[in-house]
Amino acid sequence: MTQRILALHLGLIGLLFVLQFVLPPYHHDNIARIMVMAAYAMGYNLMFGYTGLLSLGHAMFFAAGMYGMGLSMQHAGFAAEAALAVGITAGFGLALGVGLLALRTTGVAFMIVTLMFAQALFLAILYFGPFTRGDEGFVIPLSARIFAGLRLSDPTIRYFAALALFALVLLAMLWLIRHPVGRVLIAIRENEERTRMLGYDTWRHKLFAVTASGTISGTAGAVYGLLFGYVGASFAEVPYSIFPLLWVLLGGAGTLVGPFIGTLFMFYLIDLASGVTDAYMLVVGVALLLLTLFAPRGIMGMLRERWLPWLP
Amino acid sequence: MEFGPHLMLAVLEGLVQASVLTLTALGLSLVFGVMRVVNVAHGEFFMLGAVLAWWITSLLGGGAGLAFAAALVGAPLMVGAIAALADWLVLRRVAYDPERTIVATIGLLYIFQQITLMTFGPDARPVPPPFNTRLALPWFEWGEGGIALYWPWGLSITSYKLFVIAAAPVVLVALWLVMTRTRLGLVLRATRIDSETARAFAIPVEQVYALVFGIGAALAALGAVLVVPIRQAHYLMGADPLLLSFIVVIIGGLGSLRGTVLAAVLIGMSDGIISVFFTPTLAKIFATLVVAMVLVARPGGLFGERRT
Amino acid sequence: MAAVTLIETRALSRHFGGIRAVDGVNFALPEGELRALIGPNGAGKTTFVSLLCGRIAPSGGQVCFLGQDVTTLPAHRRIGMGMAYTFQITSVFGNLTVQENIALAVQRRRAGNGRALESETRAALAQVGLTDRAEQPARALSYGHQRLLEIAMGLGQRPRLLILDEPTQGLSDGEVAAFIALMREVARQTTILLIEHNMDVVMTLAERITVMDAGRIIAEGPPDEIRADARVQEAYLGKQHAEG
Repeated sequence: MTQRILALHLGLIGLLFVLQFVLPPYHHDNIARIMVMAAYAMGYNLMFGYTGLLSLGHAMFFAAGMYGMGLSMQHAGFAAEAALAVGITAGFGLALGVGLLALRTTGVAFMIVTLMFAQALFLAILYFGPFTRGDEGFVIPLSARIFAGLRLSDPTIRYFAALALFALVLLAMLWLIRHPVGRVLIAIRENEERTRMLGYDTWRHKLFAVTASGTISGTAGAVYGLLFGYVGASFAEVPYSIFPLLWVLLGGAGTLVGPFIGTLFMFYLIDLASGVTDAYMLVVGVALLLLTLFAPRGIMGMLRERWLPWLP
Repeated sequence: MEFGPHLMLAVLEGLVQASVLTLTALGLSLVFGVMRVVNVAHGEFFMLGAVLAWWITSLLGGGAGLAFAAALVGAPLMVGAIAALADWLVLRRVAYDPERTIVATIGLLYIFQQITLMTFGPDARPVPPPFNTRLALPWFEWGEGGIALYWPWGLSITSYKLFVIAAAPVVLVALWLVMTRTRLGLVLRATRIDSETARAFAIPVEQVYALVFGIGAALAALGAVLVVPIRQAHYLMGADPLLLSFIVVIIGGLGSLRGTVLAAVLIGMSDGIISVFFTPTLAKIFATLVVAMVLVARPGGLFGERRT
Repeated sequence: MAAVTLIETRALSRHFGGIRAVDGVNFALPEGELRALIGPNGAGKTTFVSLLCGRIAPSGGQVCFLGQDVTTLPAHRRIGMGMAYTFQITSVFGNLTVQENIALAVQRRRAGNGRALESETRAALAQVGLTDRAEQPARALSYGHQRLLEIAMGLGQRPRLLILDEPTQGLSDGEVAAFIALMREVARQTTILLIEHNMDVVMTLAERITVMDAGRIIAEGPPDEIRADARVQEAYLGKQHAEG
């Protein structure tokens, strides 16, 4: 059982590795973006899909990572390596702080608290415009996008960097959900009171989930900024909190490869739709409605239910 | 302008804001109170109200007064119908599950925005106010001969804004009469307290929910119709009312109508006043953080009943 | 009695509004005993054991476990010290398999030890006779089997004190007999506090019986004594006869 799970995930990583050599440039660039965003979605999935905590403000963690990285480069002249570390730390710190406060609430109140904190961060980015360049954002110069001697602006290197992040997060998640701590997170999602009465400190486990989820999201944000060279306030806005929810729901909440499948599908759905119409929001809206109505478990969730019960 | 007159101006602007916000937030609170779901598309119903008001007035043309009156009645009715339909088609079918409802209403939000963008377009469009007489307001000063009234330059309000300020109390009283004096009100209150028992007493809960969702949206639309002569209709205008309504409903205590009205006046006034003296962005940062912290400290809201 | 007191309460109270669900209860349970807690519906039994394990906070009084004042400790810390609680209303992880349910109960003590985790999970499965159903999702089990799973989750924790809240409710006669046999076996290593309505089970199993009524303890003693106690008959048995 363990072997086929490992085979599936290593196979996916291997497939993405091979794709690099065959994809035409347009799709090559798309898949690189999708892999980084899928890492973001996996971070979201840890909280929503595995622990049962619905956040409506995850863009704040993504943006914290992105701005932590970008601002430390822009204003302190940090090199890419140090800036990435700053970005990850920013995601971690914000997630820990938000977790400590927001986890005092549950359910609807939790969603609204996360939404409000995210909104406050977005507004703060606008308010400190002279420092953050507000709405416009800023470009990270090519000369700064060199990581350990590798030019991240080069498509091939960029693709492999995105794949490295994706593989790292995927394998870390695989390890975590099979680890006792991950089992407890799933138990909390299923029945928090029962979990507590089995002697687990559910509050600390939830805090761990929020912090880890925020750190992964922040890392994805920092890497996205580094690879694609742009830092902007739109990444802190509400849509970027909704997207991971959408991707995870589409792919299957509480499944490991679901976030990737969901991101891939949604990306190409919008891509195809935009060939016909520029109404991408309509596509997103209709997709959300159809998902909640007809496939609340998502693609991988449905596969697991029907045919592949062993899917993690 | 001196501080005194300036403050009075800010208070009047705050009252306009509070009036519109009271109506909008009341709609959200009603939906939450009766149906126990959070409607993320509430701001879009507000936006639809404003856009439909523009559509009705520009279609009717002619006398501004008559066209506006038609919008005041027509736009909320249409928005209410759209919302009831959305409830019947979508929310009913996810069984009002709190999380799935949130996701579904996010979907509705995007759909409404995009359809408006494709039909109404990206421009902001004004609706002419039915009447707009500028009324200068007096202020007083301590002169040598005691209190003397004078008319400071810039201290004025339009008759239309006074109308908006008066509108909220009128609607509130009407709503209160409906809730306490009519059979419909009784049915709503019974469903609000316990939908299972209501069902047992042969109350058609699903129809009641559709109606409540419609009324909630219509209240937002009404607030929007009132505000378009002051601020123009735009397809993205729903975000602020949604955020502010959330804030009001939370501070007021989720689902408590009385708390909602109190909080709407409080927030509307302070938002109006703060944005006269500070930048709106700073005011919003402050407001969102306050809401988050209120929820963290008192998940039931400031005026809400405490649950143990 | 030479036995050590495992758990003890002093003047333990819990009020809900004006209702005194638990009213100044002094209670002691020596280690190794199998004690039944009985009383009419609404006597405060479930509230009382919820106070013991920390699911709800007391309005007043003290709880001591293993000689330590645990009144202010959260539930998970008390469970960690060796209490286990099985819910009156079946509360298993419906979407997880039977085996995963029990593993969650075991893994708190065996997180770093895969082999012990597996063998203790299998042992608990076998004890309640659910080995054949290990891979089924818990929600697919019959009600009686879910009750057994609930008990297995209690056993999997290897507790010093096992609190069972109406474990035989809804079980068939055959399942009740199996439960009695299981409890006899478990009682050799574990102190058990059993809330139970089935008088046959109580009279067969319990070494001593504590009777609660209206939030207070009205009698305590060996089964024969309780059976003969006039107050108990009036408060509890009498009511039941009247009802029946």
